[in-house]
Amino acid sequence: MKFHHFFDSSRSPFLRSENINGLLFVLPLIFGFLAFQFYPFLASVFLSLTRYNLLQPARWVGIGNFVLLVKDPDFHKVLWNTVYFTTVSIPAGMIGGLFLALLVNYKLKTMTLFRTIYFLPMFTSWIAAGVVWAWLFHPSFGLVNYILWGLFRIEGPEWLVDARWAMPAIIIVSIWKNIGYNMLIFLAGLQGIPDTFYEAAELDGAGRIRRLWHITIPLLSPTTFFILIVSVIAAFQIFDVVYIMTEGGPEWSTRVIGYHVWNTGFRYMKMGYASAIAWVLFIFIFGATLIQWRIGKRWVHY
Amino acid sequence: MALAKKTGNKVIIALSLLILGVGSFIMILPFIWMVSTSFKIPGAEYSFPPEWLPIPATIGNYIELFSLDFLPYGRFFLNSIYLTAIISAGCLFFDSLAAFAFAKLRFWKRDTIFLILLSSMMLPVAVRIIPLYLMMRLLHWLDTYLPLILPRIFAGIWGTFLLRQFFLTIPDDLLDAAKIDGCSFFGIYWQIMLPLAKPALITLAVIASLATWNDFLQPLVYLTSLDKYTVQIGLAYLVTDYEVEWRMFMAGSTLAVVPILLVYVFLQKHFTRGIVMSGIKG
Repeated sequence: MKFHHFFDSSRSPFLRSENINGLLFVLPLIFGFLAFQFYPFLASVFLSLTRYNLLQPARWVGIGNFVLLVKDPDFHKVLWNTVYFTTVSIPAGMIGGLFLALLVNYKLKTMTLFRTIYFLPMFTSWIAAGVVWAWLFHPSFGLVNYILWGLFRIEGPEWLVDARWAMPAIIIVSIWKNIGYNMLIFLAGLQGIPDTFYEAAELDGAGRIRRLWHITIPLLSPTTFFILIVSVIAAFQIFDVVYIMTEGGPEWSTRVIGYHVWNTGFRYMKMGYASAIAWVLFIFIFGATLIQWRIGKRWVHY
Repeated sequence: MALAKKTGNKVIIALSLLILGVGSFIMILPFIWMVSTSFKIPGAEYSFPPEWLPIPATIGNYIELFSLDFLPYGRFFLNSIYLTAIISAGCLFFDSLAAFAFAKLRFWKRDTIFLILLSSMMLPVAVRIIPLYLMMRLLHWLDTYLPLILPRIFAGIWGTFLLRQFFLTIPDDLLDAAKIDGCSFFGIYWQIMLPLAKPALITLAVIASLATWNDFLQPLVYLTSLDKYTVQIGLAYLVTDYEVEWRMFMAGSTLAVVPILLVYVFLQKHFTRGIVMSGIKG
């Protein structure tokens, strides 16, 4: 324990003052952490073990909420939707982002313009993006179906009103929104690879594809790993875009876990049950991150 | 050999430009369509085949949007600007103060405290939002801005992280010199560190503003009176609860997006650097 420094008058008054000042400077943050992060975290554990609708006092049900969730076919559907969204949108967004980063990684003036454009959706709110894409996906007047027909003679689906196509539509929007982020982080990773690696490979006569496969991709693996972790955490929590585009429908086809928590808690006022759902979400995120760390050790080269 | 390689490069660059060109058209298409639709006259948005340009153009949709009698659309902007300004200013002060201490001062359990704070970033909002809502309800803070402002200002952990990374790059000699001159710790922070950290502070301000302006879940949960709504929940309310025309929705979306994109075009470096340095996802 170094805490006795506080009371230790033999210590230099200067160091003591540094100690006190330092603690003072971080105090607001510690207060914020305790009040707005740590307390809600503990309270959420407690809430998930109760039934509480704001009107009557919370009633202790133990693991009752979790037992209900395990048996609830609606909740299984929600989990499936979340996994569907995550497993399709992340690989597509990451491969696309890497591809774009490789293409745009030239020192040309035009590339700056391209970067500006590709990053635009990242800074647009999910709500505004969702509204605009809902208009683009309009079955009869939407630009998407018009272009599909005009260019490829494909009769476009009814997108957001069709239970089979609503989720693909949401996935398309999220790829559009996230691809710039992936590209940006991959670009930062690419710029961290020393040129000497490529020069050596070129001397050895390695072609473009071989250099990509044997140098770029392995050396980018910490970046890839980082994007994967962050993307999984974000994808499990997707909410805004579902709220604005489909409200979880049609027929629950886009009801993901983030939306389900909000709907159960704030529409149906089932605070305890919603907390239990939120905890399942947290366990999923935690588990996925843990598994990725484990597997990551095998494919990430530092 | 060298010549062949050069032409090979040229072909590859040309091909890259072509793919990037097509891609960037797809990326920007929603923006073009949004702005174009927002200036169309009634009925023109449903014309077939769709018209790319709004001819004749009108600003009638925007005027109508601001004169809706059931929705104070102009007010939403004032609210969002107010929140964005307060939260950014608060984050700048408290995050930089803590970041300075974590980077440069030696105090009790410094690194442990920092790690604990950092680990809380993994906790999903979904887990915290229900207890937070109940807490704010107990404090009678629902339908005020306090639940939006206080957690952002006092628990701005990624902002602290971002600034700490920056402060770590400033050499200690500078500090030691100031200490010898008898400068107080707050003085060192205020007079030496902050001016040096200007670029990092701009980055933080930009990212904090972005997060506040685009925030949806929290205002949605805490705010109930229409005249306190922010731009994002105002737009969502208009779209989900009213049968209004698409050209009006597009005018609303354009207004919600344009302020951020304007700032982005001017401060692009700070946007991208903020994302790269903190790793946060929009």
